[in-house]
Amino acid sequence: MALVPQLRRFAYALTRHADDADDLVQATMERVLSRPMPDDVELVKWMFRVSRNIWFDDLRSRKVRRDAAKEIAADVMLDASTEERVAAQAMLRRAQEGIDALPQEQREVLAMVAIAGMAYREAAETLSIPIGTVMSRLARARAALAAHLEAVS
Amino acid sequence: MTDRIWTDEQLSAFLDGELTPQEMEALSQDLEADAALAGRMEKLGTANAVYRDAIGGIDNAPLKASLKAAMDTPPTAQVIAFKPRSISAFVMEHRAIAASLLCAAAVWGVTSATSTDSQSDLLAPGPDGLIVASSPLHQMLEVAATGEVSKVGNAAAVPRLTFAADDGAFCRQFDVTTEDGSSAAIACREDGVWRTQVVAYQLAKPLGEFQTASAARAPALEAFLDAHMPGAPLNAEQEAMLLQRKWAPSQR
Repeated sequence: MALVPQLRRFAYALTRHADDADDLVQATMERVLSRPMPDDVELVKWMFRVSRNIWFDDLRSRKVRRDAAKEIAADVMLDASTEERVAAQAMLRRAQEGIDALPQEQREVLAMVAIAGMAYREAAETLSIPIGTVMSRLARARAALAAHLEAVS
Repeated sequence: MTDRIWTDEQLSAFLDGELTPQEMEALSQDLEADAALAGRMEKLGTANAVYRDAIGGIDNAPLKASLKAAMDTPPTAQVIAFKPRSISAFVMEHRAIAASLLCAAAVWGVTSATSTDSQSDLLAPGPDGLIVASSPLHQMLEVAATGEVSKVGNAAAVPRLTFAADDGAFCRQFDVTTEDGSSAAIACREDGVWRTQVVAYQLAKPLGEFQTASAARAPALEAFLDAHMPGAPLNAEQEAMLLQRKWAPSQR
């Protein structure tokens, strides 16, 4: 069952809402089982690809657009002092805002590479874009997040 | 300072290990020598790490009720048919969402438990059920006698039955067992290639507690055998001769 959390993280990275992420996980699982899978692709990668397609082709349009990601309480730094935990929570909250502010194109590439672990080539094939575009979207996404974090620290 | 100029694209690709080995090496050297470059890399790396932490926060959110309900349903043997030889009702059995989820979990369990760099996924064949010739499963089907256990990655695979199908192809029913559960499948050999015809999965219940009850008793497998096994399975002697002939049909 270890792949369910993985898929859920990916879904959350795309949808930015816990509820939508779980809907996407469920839809993905149903679709993966009902359609043939190419024999030259790993199941886990195929699952991420299906998930991405469902979200962009289907589910997203049916969801009410949300202003910001529902805040997910990250259970971080249990051993740390109160001040450190507060600081870490604040950092994560800022990160969530930064992620929400990313253009959809950057967000999906970042999810594919940093969360799903896809190689640039796989992400490029999935999105039908050149590898150079994958590379540049990732760099811009990370630079934007870095700038956002820096602005508040 | 160094002479080379590195872009954010390259620094970002370095984080993903996507530069060429030469570039990775050169950038590593420059990062040691150039504090400003190292500082930029640290910012991008931190952004990436914080991003992953932020996304990982979903792990702490409770599952949506509908998803949880589906996943909490007691597991039973579930079925995927890859290339049904006839349009049979069994293909569409157990299509409820809960069943699908469990089935997917079982597929993934088997897949992830047995995947290594050098091995193909055991029970993740293509749309037509192809078991690639380089896979350990293909090898097991080719040479192992019924009852002979083969260790395949973290899984144990064992043929249970060999028979000639109604169209003349030889088929084998076999079990694959991992910590996550067990599965029973039937594959048939055509033109030297094994293709999975039907698979039933039995997820261990609960996860981690192994249950031997059997996917092998799944109605779908029985239905397949009823439909495509016209006679008795091969006995040990017939099977041994067939393995020796490398699956060539008898000349008699």
